Amino acid sequence: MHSKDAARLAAKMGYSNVLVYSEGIPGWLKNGYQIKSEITLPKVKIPQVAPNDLKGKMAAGEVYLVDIRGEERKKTGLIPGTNTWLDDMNIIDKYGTLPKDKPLVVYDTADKKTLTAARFLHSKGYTSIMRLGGGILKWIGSGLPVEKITD
Amino acid sequence: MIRKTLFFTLLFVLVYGASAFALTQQGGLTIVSTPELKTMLDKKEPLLLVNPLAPLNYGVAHIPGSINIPLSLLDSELPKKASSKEQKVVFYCLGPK
Repeated sequence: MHSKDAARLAAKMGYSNVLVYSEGIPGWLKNGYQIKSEITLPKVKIPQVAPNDLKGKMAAGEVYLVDIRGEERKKTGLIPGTNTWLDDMNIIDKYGTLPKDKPLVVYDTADKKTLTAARFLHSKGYTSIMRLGGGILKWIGSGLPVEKITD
Repeated sequence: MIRKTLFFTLLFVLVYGASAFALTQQGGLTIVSTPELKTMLDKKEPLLLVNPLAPLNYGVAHIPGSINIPLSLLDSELPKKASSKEQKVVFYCLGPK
């Protein structure tokens, strides 16, 4: 969870009055409060793929797997066969490196940021795109292996 | 009798205080609820509300009045935005997990 990681880091940096609003944007919306948007993405439906189905598609070479996590990826590891790492910090600048001749599957830790990333990519012409339902946590929960990240 | 009353008053304060503390502390972090945050913002408390996600996620949805400092840039950017190390800083993102 980014807010908690950020709060811990700020405390470590010497900030003495650090708080976490852990309910975050979903909690804010649930209470009827407004949010602000500067980027509007098309509300297209991005299909989810289940871990075992993804495994099959990867074995058949049918998809191009994109990890969109940031540094948190080092905690959980990597889905073996991941084609590229394009974290959400540089996705705006580097999405053009992704192939268009294969369906993309994007994944993150718990499938919380994939919808935004996938809709962004969809808006850039990557219309054959899916997301890993439940993220890598669901993949691990399904008994599938992960690779340790050494870099 | 007075001692007894004092003892129970003290006990009540300790137990109540501990339970209130437990409600707002989680893994060494102080947690703020939606009504608490709303009150702080309405009162225009001098706090820094920070969304530590990437610019794309911030651009798509953020709480009005918050600023974006991606987690990977916190080290360098927070000192530029916070008035002092004592300033209240509230972080939020996409909720639990």
